[in-house]
Amino acid sequence: MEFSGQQLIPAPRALVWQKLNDMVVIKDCIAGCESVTEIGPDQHELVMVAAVGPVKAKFKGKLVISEKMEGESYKLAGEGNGGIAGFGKMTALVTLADAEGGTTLSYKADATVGGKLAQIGSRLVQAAANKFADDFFKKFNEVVSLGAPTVALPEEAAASASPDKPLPVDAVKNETASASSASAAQESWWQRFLRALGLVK
Amino acid sequence: MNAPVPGLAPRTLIGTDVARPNAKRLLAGRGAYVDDKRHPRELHAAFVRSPHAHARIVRIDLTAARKSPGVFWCGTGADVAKAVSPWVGVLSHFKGMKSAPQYAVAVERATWQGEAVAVIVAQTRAQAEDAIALVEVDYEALPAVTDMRTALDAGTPVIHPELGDNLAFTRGVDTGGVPEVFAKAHLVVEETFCFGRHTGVCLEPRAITADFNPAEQQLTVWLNNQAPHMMRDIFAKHLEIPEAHVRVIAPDVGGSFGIKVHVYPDEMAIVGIAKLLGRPIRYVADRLESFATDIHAREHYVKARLAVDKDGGFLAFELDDLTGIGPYSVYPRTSAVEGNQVVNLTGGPYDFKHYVANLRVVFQNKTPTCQYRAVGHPIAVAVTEGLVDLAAQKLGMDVAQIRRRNLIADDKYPFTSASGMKFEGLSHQACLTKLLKLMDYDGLRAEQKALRAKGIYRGIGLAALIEVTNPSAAFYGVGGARISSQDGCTLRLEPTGWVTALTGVTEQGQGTEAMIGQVVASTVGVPMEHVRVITGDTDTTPYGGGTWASRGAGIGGEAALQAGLSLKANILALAAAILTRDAATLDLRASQIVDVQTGEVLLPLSEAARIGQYRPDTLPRNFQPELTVSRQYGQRDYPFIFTNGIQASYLEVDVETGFVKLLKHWMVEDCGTVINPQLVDEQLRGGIVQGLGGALFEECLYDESGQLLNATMADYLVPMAAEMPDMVIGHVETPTKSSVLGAKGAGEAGTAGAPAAVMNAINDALLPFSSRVTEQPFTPEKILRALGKV
Repeated sequence: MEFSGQQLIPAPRALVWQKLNDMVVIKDCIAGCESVTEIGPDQHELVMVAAVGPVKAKFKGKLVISEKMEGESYKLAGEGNGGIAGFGKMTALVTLADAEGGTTLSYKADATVGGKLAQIGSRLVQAAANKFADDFFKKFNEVVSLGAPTVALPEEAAASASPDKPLPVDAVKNETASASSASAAQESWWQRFLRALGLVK
Repeated sequence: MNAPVPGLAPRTLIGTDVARPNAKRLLAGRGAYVDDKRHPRELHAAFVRSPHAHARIVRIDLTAARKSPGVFWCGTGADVAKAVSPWVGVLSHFKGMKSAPQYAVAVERATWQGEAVAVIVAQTRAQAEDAIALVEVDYEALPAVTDMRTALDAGTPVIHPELGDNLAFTRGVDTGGVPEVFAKAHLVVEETFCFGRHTGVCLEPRAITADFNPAEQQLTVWLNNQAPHMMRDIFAKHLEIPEAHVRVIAPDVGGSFGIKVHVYPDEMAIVGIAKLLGRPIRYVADRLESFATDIHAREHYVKARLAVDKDGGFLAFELDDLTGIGPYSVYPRTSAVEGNQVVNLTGGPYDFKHYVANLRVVFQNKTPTCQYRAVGHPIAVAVTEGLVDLAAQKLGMDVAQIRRRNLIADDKYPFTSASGMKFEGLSHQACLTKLLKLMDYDGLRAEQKALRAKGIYRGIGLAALIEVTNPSAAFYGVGGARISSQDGCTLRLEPTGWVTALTGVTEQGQGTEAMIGQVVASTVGVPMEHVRVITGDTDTTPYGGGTWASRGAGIGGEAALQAGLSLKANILALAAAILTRDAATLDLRASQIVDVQTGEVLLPLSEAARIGQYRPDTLPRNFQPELTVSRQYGQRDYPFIFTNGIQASYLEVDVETGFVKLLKHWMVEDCGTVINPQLVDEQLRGGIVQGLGGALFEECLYDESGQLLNATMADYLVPMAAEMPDMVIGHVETPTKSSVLGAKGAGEAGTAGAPAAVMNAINDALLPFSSRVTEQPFTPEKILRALGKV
């Protein structure tokens, strides 16, 4: 299935390009991403948890960046094996262009799924893949544009969101604001409730 | 409404609406299905299934799964193969048919998305499924063969290289002289028809519990199957244990439709693992698994032609059928039967001489297909009836009139069709007459015309059909399959005067037990409430084929009738001994021994039974009461006893949205003696609904890489009550002379004709636009495309 989207990022093109090539940023922007390990130039091993409708699974796979045109575009290819859930493959052509107020990031993605993921219906998968890509680039936009922090105590919030896996130091240092806002968004109402009561930090 | 059956008392239950004895129990939620029964020490199995349509299995790592909580055993295809030998789904009477050995769990290669590659056995199903998530399988994806139209091309990979090509079976029929007939014909119509692959969606999915007792080397299998005796033979053969040591029990079954008459690799794996572990193993397919592993059916691409003379008389049919069956022919019935039936049945209701047909059955990397309700009939009927309507249209003839002109005359039997089918006695013309009257054909045409003027597009579609029922050994036995064409019935007179009936035919919700009870009660002469029917246990019921190919009433019913007549004779002999009268002067009516002439009550049956069982000392020394009898019956007069019928659909097409609204459906059919009109009518209605599903809604959608895309009840549309029209059923009764009962099958005729009737009705509605649809299911999109609106 094919899908596409666009984001206007209020940042200069050079910075956007730099972030697009920063795996720490990429990892941060992939919802459910547990780890990214470099295995070669522009090649990374990826572990992430993804859910499509009733099927939720941990995917292990590869992320490869190719066809790089400095400051212009690259191709992002990912494939993951979700065990019982099946497999997923996605390629996305990401293009940058100068725009008023920043940089326009456009993507054209093509995804295929197999096994249970395919069985539960292209209807769900299409929507899920669409949302996945949309969320990714929205988050990326957020990270790059360095918006104002939405929650106080960003470092603590970020840490509490994943206490056993602290964010890499450089990620915390560079992207505190966006990382924390995402963590806050991932919090459920009862986590916020407990914090308001002072029962957790 | 029906002719009296010889040997039956005048007032018999045959032909009456007897309530189903098991209906109340099922309605009260007290049914006992495979999954309702708990077994001590049982374990649960779950399968790891290939996400690829075609892939080499490079490595399976079960290390982590073995350590998962509750896991008792894990195995790959090679492990399961230690207990279960592979099989090949071919029959010897399908000349040249080929298929590859199939394993219970894939070894080395997975050939469809959903094929099991490993199996986990744990304390609970949830634990087994949790462990599946820990199984690591490395696949090397291989190119998948998905489009049957290119399956035989030189550039297409061969799924089983050892077979040489992807052609499983091919068959031709040629009466000779066909090209000349087409060349000289007044009119030739031709059309291409596509049929979407679909499946039978049973309320209760496939379920099995298998237990192996090593001390006795005894395998007991609870299985929701239509043919328990066949499965017993198969389990014995592939587990290498004596057949006498295998017991198959089919308890309550929640629908089958042919889905549950096949040998599934999953079930074979379960019995094998039960033998390996010596413990009960349970497996129930979940809905996702059902869609990917239950047999599919009906993926056909057909090109056909019909030659007609200037009066609308049919001269010749020509058929080219291509069908895709998945990577293996299903064992033991084979996946060639459906295509073979299309060849046999096309043109079936009509009187014509010349026929040429060519069938190709090809392998592909999709779920295996096999016999599903009305096997091949919906294809043959749609092709035939589509061409008939097209011919009528070109000739400017009315569609009822062209059928009247060509349907085999009712006095022309026995009749042999152009394809070689032998018809004992059918009633096409009488059925057509009755149908046109029932539906007020002329009135409907007038209404259609009036509404068309207002921009409302309604269509009327007719579809005549024949249906294969009461098969002889010609279906499977002659091809070497150990599938019985006979069935038996054992009757036991209880000391209370009640009768216990054990039958080889099985019940899946269609009312088999009611039908058998009715026949027994009628023949013996006891009330229905005094007959208990037991089905589905190979340890207790007589050997027999089970329920499939619309044979339950025709074969099982006749065995029950013969057993009933025999038991009655024995009872009268006993009564004669007690009463010191001539048995010929006695009769048994409503559980009373009566004088055959006057009807005077002489002795209650319960008293005769009491004496027969407990006081034989009071009977003459040389008289032995025989109060248990058994009879078998197999139909041997014809390869099949055909039924016939005709359906009509009235519907409205919204030409803006492409939606079809079914307004009404009629069917007049002839299944010979009607035993229970209500059950027959509901079978026909249920069959029609299943046919309408294939015509309008149901299709297993695959992408080009062989991924099944709509394997949920949210994505795979089944017909529901709201979309269904009222269905009016009528009967013509031509009892078969091949049995005393005279019953033919009624289970599949509804499904056979409904898609054709709907197709013709849609095309009739679209006539003002000169648009036609021939690709099932007829979705709104396809109708809008035909109208040129999208």
